[in-house]
Amino acid sequence: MGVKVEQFTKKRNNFTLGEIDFELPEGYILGVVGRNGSGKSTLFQSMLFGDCKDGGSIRINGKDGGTDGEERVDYRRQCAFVLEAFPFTDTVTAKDIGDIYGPFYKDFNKEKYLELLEKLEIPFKKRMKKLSTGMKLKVQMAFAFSYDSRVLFLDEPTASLDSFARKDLYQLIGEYMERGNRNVIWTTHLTEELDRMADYLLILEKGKQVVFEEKEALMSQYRMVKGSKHQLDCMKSRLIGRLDRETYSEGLVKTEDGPFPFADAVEAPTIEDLLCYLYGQKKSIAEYANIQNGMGA
Amino acid sequence: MDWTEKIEQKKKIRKMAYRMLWADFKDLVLGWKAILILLMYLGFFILPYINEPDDYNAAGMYYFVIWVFMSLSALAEGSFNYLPLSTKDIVYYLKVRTNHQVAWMVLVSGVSAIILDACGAEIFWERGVIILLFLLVTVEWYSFTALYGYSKPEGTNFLDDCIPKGRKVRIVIYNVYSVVLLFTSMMIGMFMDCNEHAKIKALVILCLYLVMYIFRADAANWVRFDEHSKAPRRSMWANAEQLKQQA
Repeated sequence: MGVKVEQFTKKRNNFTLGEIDFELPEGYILGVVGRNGSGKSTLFQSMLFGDCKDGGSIRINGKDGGTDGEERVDYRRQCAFVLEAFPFTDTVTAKDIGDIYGPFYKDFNKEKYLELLEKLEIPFKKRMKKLSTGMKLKVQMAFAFSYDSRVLFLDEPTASLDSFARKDLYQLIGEYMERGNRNVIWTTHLTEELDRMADYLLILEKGKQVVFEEKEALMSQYRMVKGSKHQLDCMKSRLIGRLDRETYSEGLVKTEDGPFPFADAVEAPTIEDLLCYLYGQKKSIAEYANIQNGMGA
Repeated sequence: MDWTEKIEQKKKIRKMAYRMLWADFKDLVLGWKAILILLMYLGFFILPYINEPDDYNAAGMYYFVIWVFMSLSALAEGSFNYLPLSTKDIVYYLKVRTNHQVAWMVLVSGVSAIILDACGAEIFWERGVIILLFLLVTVEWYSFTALYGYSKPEGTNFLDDCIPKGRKVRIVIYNVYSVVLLFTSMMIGMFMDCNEHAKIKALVILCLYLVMYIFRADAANWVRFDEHSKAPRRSMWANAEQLKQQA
């Protein structure tokens, strides 16, 4: 059944997130991207808490987290998480975390947890507050992959990880997804990871949902064109955004506006290209929506 | 969740509370802070008291040191923002934790009293009750603050989420009351001559404390456990009995 978010809104001081509306089928990875302050973390935490008191609904595998009590317990049991801010108490050891928090999850596999701690080279007997940020992230990784969850929430997990631990994380995510009925919801500013791993993209801008689409379908709608400044000038009317360098220029265009015979190279864009050229040019959401609807730049 | 699962859940929460307390205890008692506190304790109270048995400031320091110690132990609390726990579970956790902290305070005060007694101090029975009451007020205050201010990350508040708006005024009154009581008892303990009318002062604080306790006991009812049900809470044993009857 996957993850279904319907008309979700969240009000927080002067910031309003929403309405957010999307349905992520089982077995797919969703990348959530946007500028700082676009509402990624608010959405992320609301989904993790199952908090819908300002309106709308969030369902994981058909279970609603909006109601307190047993429903919330059942909802949260389906969630695993690796968060930038360490979510557990830091006065205990890594082993204690398994002992204290593990029993709250069904099918928590203590042996697997200890095995992962060992694999990730985490000292068992050191208290959390003595460990580095990267180590704490690894403890979270070991915990998250030691019980049977339906959705894995990753909030900037790799920012403090070394390349070896990053590789381990990608491998664990791969294994996690193998079962086919799970989802990963991933927020990061390192969009290269999403280029590799994400199946769907949710783009937020100033608290509004701008895009929810299959990544490949979204990317295939755009192309990066490269050439001299003069060459790009010839395509000026079709450029959504451009960057002029000393030796060459590049710009983002809609695929359907092609072919682009004046360009030296026409390439598939990365998520970063998309974000930078769509938002870097300070386009308003309305303008962007027009672009999406094929009304041109 | 059937009632056996509910009992299991409560057991897990109790275990979590014990483990957290133990971790905090180890952190404080076996750590450098504890050595510092011990040195303060010796330096500020025991030694001056032995030299000058009538020194009230020394007794005040004893009171202060215990307060610092217990306040430190009250600082840490469980992290359960993301855990599969309902509001009811969190309230239960805080209750278990608070009760244990009260027990600790009694224990610490008792041990301190024995030490004082061994040193020939006579102040315990004069000040002891006030000190103990002060500690109880501290833990009550902490416990309710934890309940009141239990904040989820990014500013989402337990209070906003779980307590009906009409009750918030009562909570604010309670909090102001508890802070005033806390500082009043501290001032009495530290700066006033407790040998005079000590029993009356202790009685007054006891009464104030009881009002506070009643407030806290009522606090659980302020929390909206289930948005869709205004029905009074039933104990799990009552539910179990009902299930048996239904069977």
